Parts: sequence; structure tokens; C-alpha cells
Amino acid sequence: MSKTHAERRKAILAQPGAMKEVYGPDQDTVNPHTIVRGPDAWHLFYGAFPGRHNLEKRHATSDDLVVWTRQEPALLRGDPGDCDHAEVSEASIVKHDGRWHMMYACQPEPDSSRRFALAVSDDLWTWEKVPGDGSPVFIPPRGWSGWTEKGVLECKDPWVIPYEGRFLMYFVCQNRWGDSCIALAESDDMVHWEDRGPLMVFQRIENSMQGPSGFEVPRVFMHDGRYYIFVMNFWGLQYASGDDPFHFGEWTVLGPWHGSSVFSDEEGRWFITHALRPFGKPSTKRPYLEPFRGLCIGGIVWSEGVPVPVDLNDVLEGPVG
Amino acid sequence: MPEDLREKILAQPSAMKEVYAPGDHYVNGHVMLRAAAGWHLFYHPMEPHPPSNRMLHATSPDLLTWTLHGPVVEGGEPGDCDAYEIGDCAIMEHEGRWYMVHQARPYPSGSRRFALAVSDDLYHWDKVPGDGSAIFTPGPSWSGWREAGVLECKGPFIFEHEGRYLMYYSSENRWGDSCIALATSRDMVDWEDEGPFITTQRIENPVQGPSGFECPRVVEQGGRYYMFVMAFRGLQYAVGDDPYHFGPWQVLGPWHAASIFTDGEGRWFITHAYRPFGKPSTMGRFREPHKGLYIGGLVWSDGVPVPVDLNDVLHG
Repeated sequence: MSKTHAERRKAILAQPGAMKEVYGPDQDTVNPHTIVRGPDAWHLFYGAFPGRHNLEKRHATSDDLVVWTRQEPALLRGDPGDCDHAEVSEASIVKHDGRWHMMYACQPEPDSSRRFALAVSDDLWTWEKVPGDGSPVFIPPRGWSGWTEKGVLECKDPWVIPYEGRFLMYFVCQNRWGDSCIALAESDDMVHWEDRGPLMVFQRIENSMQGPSGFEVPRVFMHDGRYYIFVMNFWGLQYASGDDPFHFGEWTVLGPWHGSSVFSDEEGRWFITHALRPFGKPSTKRPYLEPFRGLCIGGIVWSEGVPVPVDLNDVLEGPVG
Repeated sequence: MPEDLREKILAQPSAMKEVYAPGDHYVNGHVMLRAAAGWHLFYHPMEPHPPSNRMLHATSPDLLTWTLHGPVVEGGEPGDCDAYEIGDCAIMEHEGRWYMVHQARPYPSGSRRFALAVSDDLYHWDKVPGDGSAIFTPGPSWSGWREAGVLECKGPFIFEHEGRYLMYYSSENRWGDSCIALATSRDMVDWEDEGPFITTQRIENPVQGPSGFECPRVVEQGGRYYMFVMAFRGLQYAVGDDPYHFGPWQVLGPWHAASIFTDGEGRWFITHAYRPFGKPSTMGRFREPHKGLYIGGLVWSDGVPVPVDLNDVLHG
């Protein structure tokens, strides 16, 4: 007998870990993901297949961030020859001119370098690719990145924020010497992008179990007048803060989480996710790859500019005492 | 029944599993050690009205299912060094006997100090010297330690190195900054003060409260020495070529009172206790509910400690 919504919610919130697995392996595995508050519900857009190319953007919805229902995929791969025929990867969603815009990384063929494509929606349920002819909207310049059509050179994990009437897109790339960087592009309309080059470059480090270092899944947002960048790197999820979205200070490691998103709701409550692996699963090498898991959500409280991860219950139900 | 419980614990979705939740009290600072008959957990229970003045003992065959045996050391008579508080401890085997150094307070406003108990079997403990006196207080010249004022001397951890015992503990220098200090001994009874060797400037915020080192732990792995310690940002660690010099700090995660230990067969574990991770530790709104003891796995990768799911270490 299937559990009621209330029973599922109660069981999830009773998990002893501070971050609760809210969307689990019995529903799907979750790797890269983005969570958006729509007019009707919370929407989760994600890729599922770790170690393989995601061929569709999967979709789940929730009223309360705790109990999630799997929906039909939001976006399918394109036809042969299209920029997203071989992969539909990490996405970022913002609202512009009353419509939702999804920027996503993609590959036309399995050995192609990644690039970014765009899809647009009125309701977060039905998506239309733009411009619609199978072409991407952004490729990093070859000059600084060494990007080539083939070779799987990185251009991934876009993250778009509105800033002073424009859009800033942070993304993970590499410079021409192969070092990982977070790069920036700007746009007025989400369709035409101007390259702004690498914002931060990180020297490669590597070890036998964790594999090579490199930035993944940058997230930038403003809290209380300051800009924060959260990004996954060798040591786990780290963050830095600055007075504007172009300059950030020293990195501080928060914890060993994978693919984290940090976001807030309309009531000013903050959340942090991680996905795919119980924390600390070294991310690239066997024998510690599996088993894969779903989506976990915890709370964040802010204390004089310091993000403090707490139990999901503390944020949803308010702290005890 | 134990098999069902084991399966249930190992099925918890988080990487660190809550293995022990006693119900009427909570696990705070703790020591885990392996003896012939299995695993032993000694801990400072947090009860509705802390501080408590007893050291509790539980055992497990497998780190997953635990049996509580009750107090092994309890507060002494009025006037004794441990009449009011018995806190975090370190335990070391020396010449066939077990030695427990624990923090103690004689009365609420008394400063913390260290007392000693000794056992042949880990179940029965005798206080030493047995007259209610402490065995160690930090040197007043560098620490400003005095009898009263709740000056810190807590969270001892003992590590054997080249025929001597090194005791790391949390204290403060005379200007009030938190430090990890060192004392050394050859017999576990007489301790020589070696002063503070790492200090941190005090930082503070409204949710997390004041900073300060707590629960230092030193382990040797692959010929290098690792110090793990709780501070403002969570559990952090540093690495050195000897147990006296450590490099820059690296934060591992937001865990409380973590212990890092090995089963002697190459498997490593990491614990945390008292609060789901990230519970800011000192301020009211986010203190409760308190929790039990969590255990996860730790694997080493070219000298980097990597926390993993407990299943990965227990079952490969």
C-alpha cells in the first residue's frame, strides 16, 4: 500500500541525518540539478545517469520540497546533427520577459566538446528550444579556452543571475593550459552572449582516489547585500563572498557535498542540496563510485554572513526552543 | 533482532549512520577504542541539566549495535576535583592497564582540570591518586589558569610517540585566545606542561557563538601526523611530519566532537555526536533536538582523508 503524502513527509523528516534524502533511488538517481519555485509548485530539473551521457532533462515537482513526484521529462535530446543530440546536461533557469529560460550544456556527438543551448517555457512544463534550428547559443572563445569542436573540452555547469538589468552567466571551463576555471559571459536577452573570459583559474591537483580537481556547479546569489559564490572543488563544497558579483575573497570549505545548490524561498528560508552520492563519495574513481543516490536537502541559516548548514527540520519547522 | 537493527542502521540514507541514540540522554565528547572483547565507547552524557558528573560506558561487537553498561567514573565528594563535573576523556593502555584522563570541575565556578582513573578491564575503574585531587592543571604563567573562573582545560587526547605520551588539550592563553596545548608523560600519572602550541584568535557570531578549539585528535597515517580539531567552521585538520608541527588547516565538514580512529586492520572511521551536523553549537535557537552518536567511514587518498559512507568501509 502506498504511503500518503503526510506519511512520506513524516518519514523523510525523521531521517537522522541533517540533510534528508527527499527524492530517492526508488524514484530516480539525481546528479546535476536545479530547483526553481514556479507559480504552481517547486520544480526540480535534473540529469540522472552518472558516468553516461544524459539524454533528457528530467523533471519532478513538489509542494513542500519534502515529498516529490516524478513527472515526464521536460526536455528531450535533439535530432542527429543538433547541438544536443548526444547529451542534455546541467542547466540553469531564470525568468526573463515573463518566460522561463533554461540554459543547458550539451553535446552533438559523444566525443564533441560541450556547448550551451537554450530552451524557453511559459509554465516550466512545456519547453521550446531556441533558436530551434539545432544550434547552440554559446561557445567559449578559442583564444583563451583552447576550445575545439571535438575533444570534450569543458564548457559546462552554466549558472545565470540577473544583475543590473542584464544577465551574468558563470560557467565551468578550462584555460588553454588545461587548468579549471570559472568563466563569465553577459547577455541582455539570454540569447546573445558576450564572453567575459575566466573569472577565476585553479591550478590542477589530483590524487589517486578523488581524481583530478576542477570547479563544478558554481552557484552565485546575493544575500543581505553581499554576493556569494558556492562551487564544488577538490575538497568539497566551498564558498567565497564579495561586494559585487565579479570579485570574491578567500575560499572556505563547508562540507564534502556533491552537486550542491543553495537557494531560498519567498519566506526567506534557505536550503542546501546535495545529490548522487552520500557526502564524501570521492567523485571520479572506483571502488567508491556507487551506489548512487537521489536528492538530499538540508537547511542553511545565516549568521553575520556565515552560511551555517543545519537540519532541514530547523528551517522548515523552525528551531526548537 | 540485532541483525534487523544493523540492517536498519546501514540503510540510513546519510553517509554517517546514527548508531547509538540512548533516549534519556545524549552523547557528546566521546572516545572509541577497540579491546579484545570488542568496541568500547566512553562518553560524557549530556542530560537535561548539564553538566553531568559521570562517564558512561557502552560496548559493541560491530560498531553498530551498542549496549550501555552504566557509569564507570562518577563525581566525587564535595571538595573533590570532580564533584561537579566529569567531562571529555582520553584513554591509553600503559604497562597492561588502562588509564583514563578526564576533565573535571569541583564546583560550578571552578576552572576545569584533569583527573585520572585506572582500570584492568575497562569495566571497573579506580580514581588515582584517590584523594580527590587532580593530576594536571595548565601552567598559570602562560594560561592565566587559576582555581576558579571556569578557565579552560578540556578535551584531552593522548597519543604515544617515541616512548612518551603526548597529551593535547584545549585551553586558552592568558589573553583569552583559544589554544591547543601539550603536556607529556612517561607513566600517564606525572605530566609535564609543554605550553600552548597552536592558538587561534577569537571570532564569534550570533548563531555559532564564540570560536575555540575543541576535541583535538592526532593520528598517524602513512608516516605523517594528522591533527583533527573542531573549531568555528566545523571539523578541520592539518598535517605534519612530526606530532609537534602542523601545516595549514583544511575544513572537512561541519561535525561536532568528531573522533577519527582505526580498527587496526586498515579500516578508518569518523564519528560525530550530539547534534546533526551543522547545528551551531552554543546558541539557544538551534541547539536542540540533541542526538546520539553517528559513525561514517574514512578513506585515505594520497594523504587526504576522505569521509565516505559507513557501508563503504564496513563492507568494502
